[in-house]
Amino acid sequence: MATHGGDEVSALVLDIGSHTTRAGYAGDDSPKAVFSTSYGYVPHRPPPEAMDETGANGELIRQPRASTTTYLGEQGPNVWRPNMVVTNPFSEGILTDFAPIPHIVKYAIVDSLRCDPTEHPVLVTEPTWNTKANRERMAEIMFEDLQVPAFYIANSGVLNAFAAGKGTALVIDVGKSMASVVPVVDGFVLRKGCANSTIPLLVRAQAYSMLTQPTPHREGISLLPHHLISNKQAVDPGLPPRFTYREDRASQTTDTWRTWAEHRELDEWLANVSAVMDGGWNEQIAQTRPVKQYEFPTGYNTFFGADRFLPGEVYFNNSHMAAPDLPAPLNSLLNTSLGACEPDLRAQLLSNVVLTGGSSLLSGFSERIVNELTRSYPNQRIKLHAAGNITERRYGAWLGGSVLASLGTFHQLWISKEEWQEHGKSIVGQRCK
Amino acid sequence: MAASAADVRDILSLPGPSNVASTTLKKSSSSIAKKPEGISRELYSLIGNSAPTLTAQFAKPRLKQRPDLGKGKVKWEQQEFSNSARADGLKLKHWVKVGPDNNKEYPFAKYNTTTTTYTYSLDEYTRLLEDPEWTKEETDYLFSIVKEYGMRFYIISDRYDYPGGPPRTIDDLKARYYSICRKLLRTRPWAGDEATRQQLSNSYAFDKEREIMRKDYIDHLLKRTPEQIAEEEALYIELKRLEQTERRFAKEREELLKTLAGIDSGLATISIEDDAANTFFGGLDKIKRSKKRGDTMEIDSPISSAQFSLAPAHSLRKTTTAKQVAQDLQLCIYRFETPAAAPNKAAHVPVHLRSTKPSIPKQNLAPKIYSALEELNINHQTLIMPTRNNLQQQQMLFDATAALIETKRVVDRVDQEIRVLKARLSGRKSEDITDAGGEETQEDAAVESQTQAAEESQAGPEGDAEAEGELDAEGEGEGEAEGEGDGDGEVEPEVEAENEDADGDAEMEDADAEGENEGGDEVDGEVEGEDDGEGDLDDEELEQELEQRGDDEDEDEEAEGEVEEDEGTVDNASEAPESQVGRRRKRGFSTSSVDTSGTMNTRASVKRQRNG
Repeated sequence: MATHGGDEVSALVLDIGSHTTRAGYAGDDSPKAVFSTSYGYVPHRPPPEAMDETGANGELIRQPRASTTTYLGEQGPNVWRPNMVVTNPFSEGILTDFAPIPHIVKYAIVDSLRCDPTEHPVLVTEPTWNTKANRERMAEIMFEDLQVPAFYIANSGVLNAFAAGKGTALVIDVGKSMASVVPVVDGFVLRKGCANSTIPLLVRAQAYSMLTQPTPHREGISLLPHHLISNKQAVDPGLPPRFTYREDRASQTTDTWRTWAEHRELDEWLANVSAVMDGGWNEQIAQTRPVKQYEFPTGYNTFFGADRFLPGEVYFNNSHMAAPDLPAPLNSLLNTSLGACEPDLRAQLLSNVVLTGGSSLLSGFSERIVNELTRSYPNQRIKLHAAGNITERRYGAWLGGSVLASLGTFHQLWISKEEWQEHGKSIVGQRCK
Repeated sequence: MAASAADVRDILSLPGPSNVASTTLKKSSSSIAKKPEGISRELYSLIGNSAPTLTAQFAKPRLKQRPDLGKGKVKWEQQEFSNSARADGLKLKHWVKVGPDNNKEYPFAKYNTTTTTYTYSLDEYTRLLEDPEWTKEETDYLFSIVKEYGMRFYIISDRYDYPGGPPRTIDDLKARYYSICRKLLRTRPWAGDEATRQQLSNSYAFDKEREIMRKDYIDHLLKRTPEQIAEEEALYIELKRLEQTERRFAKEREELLKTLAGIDSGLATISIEDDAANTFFGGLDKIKRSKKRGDTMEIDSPISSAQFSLAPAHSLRKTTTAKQVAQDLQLCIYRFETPAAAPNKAAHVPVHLRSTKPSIPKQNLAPKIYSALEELNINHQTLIMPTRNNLQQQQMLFDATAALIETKRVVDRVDQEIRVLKARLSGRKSEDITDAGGEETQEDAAVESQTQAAEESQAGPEGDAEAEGELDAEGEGEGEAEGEGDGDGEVEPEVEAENEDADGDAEMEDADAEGENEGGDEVDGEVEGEDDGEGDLDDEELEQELEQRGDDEDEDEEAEGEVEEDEGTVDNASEAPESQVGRRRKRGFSTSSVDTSGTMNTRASVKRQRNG
């Protein structure tokens, strides 16, 4: 039975990103389970260096968590718990803390999909800049902890290209914490042409400071989440909010949870209000754009005019921010990536640009990318493929994995449990090129 | 024109429509029963065999038949399968239809293809493949990675990581790999024919230097600034425009040559081909050159063939300096006037051979000139040495021949007229002798005067205008008579009378003319004598002269007869047939006189030529 080259072997696709984890059956067009990769746990005793949470490394946290419950999914960090610490296994787009990974994988496959992992081959995605140790560790977790019959780890750049129906493409992936430009040729990543930076984090930092810092026109905006507000009253735009803070929770709220919750509010604001100037930064044009009203959980609401374009501009230009070691903006990522490719390839890549990632959904983003590319390569035909469907744009890597794992010709590439036991870790590098 | 069904049948060699029709007719006639006699057609259609039965209408309507979807349900089953493309015995499960062919090979295994790559033995390597820049180990690594990534060199160069080896570019890798392939192909025994071997060897051809150069070009192309691109675009458009103008010039030149000289120079096609053959860079070069030269190119080039003439050397442009003139003389450069009269026409004519632009005589005289030259065994078509002087000589020859032919033509005509009039005069003389009537003498004199005028016009310039005027006047009178004479027979007598009047008028004027003619400087002695004395003897003398010359032509006779009939009509006006004949004759006379007056202009001009 072969229709359109597909052969379903009820494989599962697991895409663990820094923001969300996506899981589903291969062959579906959207993941069945999508939940936050950040997780919460309550240490037995309050961590001695609670203040050091942001700067803490994995070891410090792991020690007390060994015997605690990990709160995952919709009932995870989204629910306020006394003294709950929220953390994320990713750091700069790469898995640095593997301790919660078995929990996350089990939550995705067993709890969300209700599957027996021993019956399903699993395809896992990895970022281009993933390390050899990381992918071997992931294979180890899959084979040893979950006893999967077959496993494969695929590059998210390649999968994004496949999701767009292309074998050769220049994939621009703008996620929650990482932005990357990956040239893909014949289904292989050109590693020398890969470029990535943490520019999305800088954008969020810029937006956060812009909102919370007081300006001559308004005071600093409080990004308190609903969880910490007992009641509020409607106020006119621009007036100070009138709400009651939940004092009972104040003492038991950890800084990590509060930061996580505030950044969730920030993401909401970014998704609703923020935009990118499609033709490049121009103060006059920005002033003429329509203003947008937004109400925060505190009840404070105001209109955002030209300043709603400021954070988005950081994606393309951060030269106005006077700070050392800033992550590279997208322009320089594109130039670095294309500059590292063979001259013959550039024309082909430029006519197959794939834009993906949840942060690329800012309005005006794709137009801006095209404009920037046209400015850099004025005599090249530039064709940008950006999925109009929000699900496809956000879960491009998962979708590509779904396509790949349902192909009849792919099934010879699985690393079987037998091979894993026979060859050990080296089989991962050999098979998953 | 639309093809009929018969045409289509004819083309496809199908049987004619008659056959088809006949077969269908036969069928229909056999199926329908014959209508019995005595029943009307309408009635028979109701009660006859073909009438619809009422029972059929009450039958239960049948539903559309259900499609046959095969027999029963299809059973699906989740089955384990093993993929023959895998080395291990991994069993994956998929859903399949339960059927007999369940244990066949996995259908996707056949897509597991690998590229065949060359391998070499240690002996071959040491004999052939040694390269100072590559070690055996690195070459082995290269071949293994090429095999691993299926000759995708972009990826190979990306993943190429030989520990301790120098950095290799994609071109290094390609050059090494393909050179080894070529060497192995050349030295190993080959089973197939030489052509395929050569073809395969060519497919492994790789020129590293060229490839690097090509990539440099692409890199430069990519790095162009928008301004550079805009400039290039503008230059390209300019080139196209210039090519277009060039083509249009060539076309116009060709058309002019065809219409004026009737020759096909072939220049137009040549220049167009040259344009087409121009490469892009060649074209750009051409533009630059033309820009550099500017106007001088147009000054140098001769004018279009419409104004082509062998201009003498002194007809240089006024703008040219003395130095330029000297230089031109030294270098044998002839400059032509640019046509000021044709501002709309393209002034630019490219360089051409003088032999393609020969001198051409006037169109109406050309055949005569050519025939005249042919009589002298001169070939007018080819000028073997078309030098400037020779062309000038040829032009002069054409001009002289044309003048000669023109003169001859005029002389012939005048001679002819003299003869006609003299014949008429002699005819009148003979009448005078026979009739001796006073009435006719006047008319006679008129004819005489005409002859004289004709002769005189040959002799001197003075009496021309008068003679012309006379003849014109006479012609008018005659014309009037003609117009009325075409009417019914009743009007005839009147017409005759008018004719007479007109004649009379003419005579009077003739007399005037005579008088004036006497005052002329150069008058023929003979004619003078006639004028002086209108006696019979004089006429007789003239007659004798004519006889001596032996001029006895038809026209003369006709003129004679005319006069006779004229007389007849005057005498017997009642005799209709005779008068008709006479009138016809008269008309003939009048036309001849008009003709004569028509030739007067040419005559006058010829006279001037002779005198001058």
